[in-house]
Amino acid sequence: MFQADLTITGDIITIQMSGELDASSAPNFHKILQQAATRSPKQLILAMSNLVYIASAGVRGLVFARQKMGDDVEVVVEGANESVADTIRMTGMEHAITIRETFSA
Amino acid sequence: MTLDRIDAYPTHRIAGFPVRHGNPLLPGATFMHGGVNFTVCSENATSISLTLFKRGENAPYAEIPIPETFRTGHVWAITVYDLETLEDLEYGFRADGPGENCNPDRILSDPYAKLVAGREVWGEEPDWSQPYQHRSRLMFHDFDWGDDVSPRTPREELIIYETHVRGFTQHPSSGVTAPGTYAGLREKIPYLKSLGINAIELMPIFEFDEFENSKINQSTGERLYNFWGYSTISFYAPKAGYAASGKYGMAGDELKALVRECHSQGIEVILDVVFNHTAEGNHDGPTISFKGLDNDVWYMMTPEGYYYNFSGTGNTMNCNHPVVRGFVLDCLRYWVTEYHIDGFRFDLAAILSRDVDGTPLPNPPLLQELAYDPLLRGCVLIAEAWDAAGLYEVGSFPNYHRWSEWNGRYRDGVRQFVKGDTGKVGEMATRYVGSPDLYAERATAASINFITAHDGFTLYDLVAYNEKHNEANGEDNRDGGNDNASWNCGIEGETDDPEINDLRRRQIKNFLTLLLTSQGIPMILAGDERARTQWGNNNGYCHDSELSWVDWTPNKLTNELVRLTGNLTRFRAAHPAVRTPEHLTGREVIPGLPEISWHGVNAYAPDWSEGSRLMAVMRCAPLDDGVDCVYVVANAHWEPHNVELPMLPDGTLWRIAVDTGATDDSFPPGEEPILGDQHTLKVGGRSTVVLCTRIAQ
Repeated sequence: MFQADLTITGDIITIQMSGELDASSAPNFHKILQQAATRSPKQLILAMSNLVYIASAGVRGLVFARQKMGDDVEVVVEGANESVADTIRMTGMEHAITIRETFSA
Repeated sequence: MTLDRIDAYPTHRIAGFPVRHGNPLLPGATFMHGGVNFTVCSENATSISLTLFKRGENAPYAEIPIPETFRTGHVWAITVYDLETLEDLEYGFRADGPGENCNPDRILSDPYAKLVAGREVWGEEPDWSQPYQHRSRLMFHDFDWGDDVSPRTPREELIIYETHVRGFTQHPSSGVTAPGTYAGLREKIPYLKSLGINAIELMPIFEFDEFENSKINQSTGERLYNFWGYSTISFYAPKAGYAASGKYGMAGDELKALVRECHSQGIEVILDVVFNHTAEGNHDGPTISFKGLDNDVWYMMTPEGYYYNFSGTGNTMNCNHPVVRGFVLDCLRYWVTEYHIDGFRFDLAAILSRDVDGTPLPNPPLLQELAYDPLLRGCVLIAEAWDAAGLYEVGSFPNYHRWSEWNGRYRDGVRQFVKGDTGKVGEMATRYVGSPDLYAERATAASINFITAHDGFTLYDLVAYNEKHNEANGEDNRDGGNDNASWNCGIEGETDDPEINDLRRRQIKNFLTLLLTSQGIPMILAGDERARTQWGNNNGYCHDSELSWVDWTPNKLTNELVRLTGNLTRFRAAHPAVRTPEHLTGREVIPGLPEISWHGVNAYAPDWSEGSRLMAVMRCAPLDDGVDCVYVVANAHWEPHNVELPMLPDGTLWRIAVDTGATDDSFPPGEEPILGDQHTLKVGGRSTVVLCTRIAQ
């Protein structure tokens, strides 16, 4: 069961993700990203430490997130498992998405 | 106010899906507003249905018959709306029609599939019960290229490095985080940069099946694969098993990230493409795609109905059939525009010059179209100008002043000269200056000079083996070429004999030096600069093992060779005299100094006789502020020789850039020491010396 909770702190939007992000849940993820984009944040944090599984549709969602946000918004992936972090690096997205191992304070 | 598009609405409902007549001008699967356009061409089919799968599932979740009214000519096109989870959609076609090939029980891959599922993790045993093995997928075109542009290196300045994506970094010593992948290769770009090469040529990366003809070698227990990949399943799809992210359907992104990074470092990316045959084989081969759509269009057939086999692999693609020509051109345009590829090397390209009945054509339409196509105009086009049925077109390949060729005669001539065969000085000299006998009407870049390639001995094995040793291939040593012009320097294979090892080291250095100072485009086989061995195997196509991987473990020899290679590539970059775009003639650069002059033991007295084994040449090219002069003497004789050097204008001194017989074999450009004796040079036995100077003006 995928869940995504959006919180707004000033101009930072955090999406807390949990469960399994797969093909069936990806459309929900996309909707939340679109919702976030309308708020024009300066930073979008995708908090993934409770995400147990991410499928190809989910990784593709990160590209979607990057492109929805516009160039001047920093997209941060936090607490992603190694496989997701590796995929971001290997597909050349590491220039566009910041990867942090743990939650920021 | 934004107007809604009126063409974005379904007009029919089939099998529960809203659909409309598709756009037949868009081959394959294309994202449309609210849907996906599927187009497939078949002359034979009387009906075609689109089959949709959820990722990896055996049974389709939808079958959408394409109505006859959605057919234009032989092209069937349908746009399907409301498809969910496009990332996980797999699709294929069923074609029904006359003849045994058009069998609706089979699901056919889309010839234009942008991604193929089924082999996403290299070597992972496929589910053989799966009725549809190579499953077409959609690809998203949202990669961020930034300001990427092709380096567009002048052709005569190219230095090509031929490599295999997996073999390059799969060895445990590679030290990369994703061994054997596009991402792993990307991690090695700093190494490639330090080596001084400016183009990588990737052995086939179109989707292929490593399990094709896979078997266990009974004597060794090793599983043998289709490692090289010269057997295409899908021409538009990158090999997913070469991507660490292949299981996420992101092989395309990972390859693009590699290309982008190469370009940022001034390295071009050339693909080795195989259009001479496909993985569908002959009558005994599988039906994957083309056979089931239009067997007689895609393949050359004998009048008796058998497959012509000019490729030596079962079938021959019908490249000059108008439909196939269009497909090949579309495909290359796609790789140039979607993946920013800089050039192509065509495997067994002589087949591309054959007519539909196999007859060689003087003016093959396909080769002409590729030569003049505006989207391919910036690409280097390289022909392997022969095929497996004896058509040998080195020097005569229909080229339109555009195509370059793998110069097989360069390979043979240089090998014979360096190993010390008699009567080879003239041949060596001709090959060394760009083979003007073959390419007089073309630029020197027509000649791709190589001594070794994936096919045949590695450079180390060329000097360590007289005979091929292909037992590990499981074919009783019958496969692989027998005519290698190799010499083991005294003992077959590995030895502790220091004299033999020293000679081998020198011979490798001689080859590298001659290759990288020849007129034309040099190509280095990956790993040759690290003395990679295949233990005498000259046909490593089936080995996914240390036999075919590059070993990154450093030792004294690899350090020496890597350093020499780097010095030679930088020498080449610094000296226009060795890479002139035009063929050299005897014209004078400055009064009394021709752009090329031949020498021997005595200056200006070359010895072309049968017993001679020494070639010496001076080349000069004008610079903005002077003249660049390079003198090279290659002594393939086992005895040393004292050679008289050509005179230079007063005040100009020769500097020594390379001496393969010396302990300090080479110097970086700008650091070459002045030669002690400016009149007579002692050249060691089986050694090559390169001198350079700049005549100020």
